[in-house]
Amino acid sequence: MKAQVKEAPAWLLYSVLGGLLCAAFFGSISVGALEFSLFDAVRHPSSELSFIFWDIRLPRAILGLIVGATLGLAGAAMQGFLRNPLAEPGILGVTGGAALGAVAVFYTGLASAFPMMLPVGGILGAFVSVLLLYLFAGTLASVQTLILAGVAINVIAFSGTSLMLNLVKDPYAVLDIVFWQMGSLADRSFQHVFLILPFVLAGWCLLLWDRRALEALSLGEATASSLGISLKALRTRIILGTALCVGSSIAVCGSIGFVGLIVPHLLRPFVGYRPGRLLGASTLGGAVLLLGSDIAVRWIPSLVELKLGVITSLVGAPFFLLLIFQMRKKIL
Amino acid sequence: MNLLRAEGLKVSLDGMTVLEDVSFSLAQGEIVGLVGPNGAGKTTLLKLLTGALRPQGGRIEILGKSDHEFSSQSLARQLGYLPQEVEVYWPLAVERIVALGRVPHLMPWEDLTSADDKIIESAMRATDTLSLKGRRVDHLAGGEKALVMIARLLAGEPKILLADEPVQGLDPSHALQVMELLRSVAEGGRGVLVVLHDLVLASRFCDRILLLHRGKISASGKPEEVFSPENLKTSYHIEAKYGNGDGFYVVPWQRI
Repeated sequence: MKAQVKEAPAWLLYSVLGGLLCAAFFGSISVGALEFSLFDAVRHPSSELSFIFWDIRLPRAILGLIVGATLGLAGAAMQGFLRNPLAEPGILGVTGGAALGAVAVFYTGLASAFPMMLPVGGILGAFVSVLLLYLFAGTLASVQTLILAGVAINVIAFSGTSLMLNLVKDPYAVLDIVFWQMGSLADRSFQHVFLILPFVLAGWCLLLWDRRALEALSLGEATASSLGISLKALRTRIILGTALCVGSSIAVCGSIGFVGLIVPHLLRPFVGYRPGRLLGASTLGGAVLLLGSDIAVRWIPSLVELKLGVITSLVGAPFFLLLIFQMRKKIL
Repeated sequence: MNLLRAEGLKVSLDGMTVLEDVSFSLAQGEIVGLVGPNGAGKTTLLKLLTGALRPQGGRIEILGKSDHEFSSQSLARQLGYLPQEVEVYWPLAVERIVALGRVPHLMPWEDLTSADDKIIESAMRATDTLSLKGRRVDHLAGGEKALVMIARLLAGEPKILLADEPVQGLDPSHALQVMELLRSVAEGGRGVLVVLHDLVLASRFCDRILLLHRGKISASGKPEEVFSPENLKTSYHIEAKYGNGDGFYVVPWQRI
C-alpha cells in the first residue's frame, strides 16, 4: 500500500465523470431494438421514431441517470456514516425493504388506484429497513454485525414479499411482480420520472448536506461532536435521505443492487478517501455505471432482454466477495 | 481572565454517581492537569465540558457565558477537544485531518478559503508536522499521529483546549514534545486542560493540578501542594519520590 495519498484535482475528476456521464446518456438514448438517427426523431415530431425517442428512450435514460445517481450517492453516504466500506443499500437490506413496500402497494391494488402510493410504499419500506439496521447494528458495528443485520433484514423483506406472492390469486400478477423485482428500466415513462423526482431530489439534498459532517465523522463520534456536528441530526438526515431516494427509486425500477458498493469503492482513491468528497463523485459515478449497465442489457444478445438488476448482481456479487476477501484479516 | 468555570457539577449514569460537586476554573495562559485513578470520572468531566453529556446539576461557564447560550457549532469554535486514542476510519492524508479542525468555522456548503489554508499550515508548522503532508494517516507512527491530532486541535483556533491523555503510548521524546507544545499553546494566551496519568509530566508541566478521586475533586492547586504524600496515598495508594532540582517533580515509587 502506498503511504502517500494523491487526490485527483476537482476539475479533472468532475470533467472525466461528467464526460463519461454524457457519453453514457447519449449511448442510452441511442441504443435499442431499432436503429435510427436521433436527429430525425427530433425533427419529425409526429413520426413513430419520435414516439420511440420521447416516450421510450428518453425517460429510460433519465430514469437510469436518476436511479444510478441515487444508488451511488446512497452507497457512499451509508459507507461514510457507518464508516464501513461494505455498507450498501442492497447488502444491508434497504433495497429489499423498499421492494417489499412497493410489492405491498402492488398487492393491495393501491398502485393502480393511486400511482403516488408506489414511491410512498417504497420509501416506507426503505425507512423501516434503515431504522431496523440502525437499531440492530448501531453506527459503529463491526463488519460481521453489520452484514448479519443486513442478512436478517433481507430475510425479513424476502419473507414478506414471498408471503404476498403466495397470497396473490392471479398467476400473471405473480409473474409481473417477480419480473418487476428483477429490476429494470425498460417500459418506464415520464410519469415514473415525475412520480419519484421530488422524493429523489429531497433525499439527495439531505444526503449531500452531510458532506462535511461525514468527513468529520472519519475521526469518530466524540471528535465529530466536539467539532459542532450534531450526531442526532446527521443520523436523521442519513436515514431519511436514504429512505426517500432509494425507496422511491426502487419502487419504480425494482431491485437493483451493488451499484452503491462498486462505485464508491472504485472512486475512493481518487477523492483521497474523503467520505464527504466521495458523495458528489459517487453520484456521477453511479449514474454512469447504471446507464452503462442498461446499455449492456440491450446490447448483449439474448432471447429476452436481460434484466438490469440481474446484470448488476452478476457483476456486483463477485465484487462483494472480492472485497470481503480483501478485508478478511479485519474480519477474522 | 477565566476562560472556563464549572460549579457544582453532578452526573449520575445508570443510578451511579460518577461526578459530584465538581467545581474548578481554567484561566487564560495556564495549563491545568486533571489527574486521578482509573474510573475517577476524568473523561466524563471532559464530556460535560464539550457538551456531549448534560450534567444533572451545576453549571458551566465558557468565556463568562453559560454554556446553554452557545450553539454546538459556536461552542466548538471556542472549545477544542482531543479525545483519548482517536481512531481514524479512512486512510486520509495528514493535511485533510488537520483541516477538519476548521469544521466549526464553516457552514455545510462552504469550502476552505485561503485564510483557512494558512491557519492549517501554521498549525502544522507549530506541531512540526509539515513534513508529513500527503502521508496516509494509517501509515504514521504513534508519535507522528499524536502530533497530527494536536495540529487538528490547533487548526480550530479554540480559546480552550481539552486533551484526554494526549501522551498515552508515546515514547519519552514525543511525550515531552507534546507537553512542550501544550505549554507553549497556553503561554500563547489560551487555556489548556489536560488529562494525564503520567504524574512526572503533570508535576513538571502543569501550572495547577485537579486531583479527581471517586467523582470528587479531592485536591486542587499547585503540583507541589496536590501531590503531597497524603494525597497520593489516599487516591493512588502509592508512595512517591520528590525532586526539586530544576523545578518540582514527583516520581511514583512504590505501591502501599
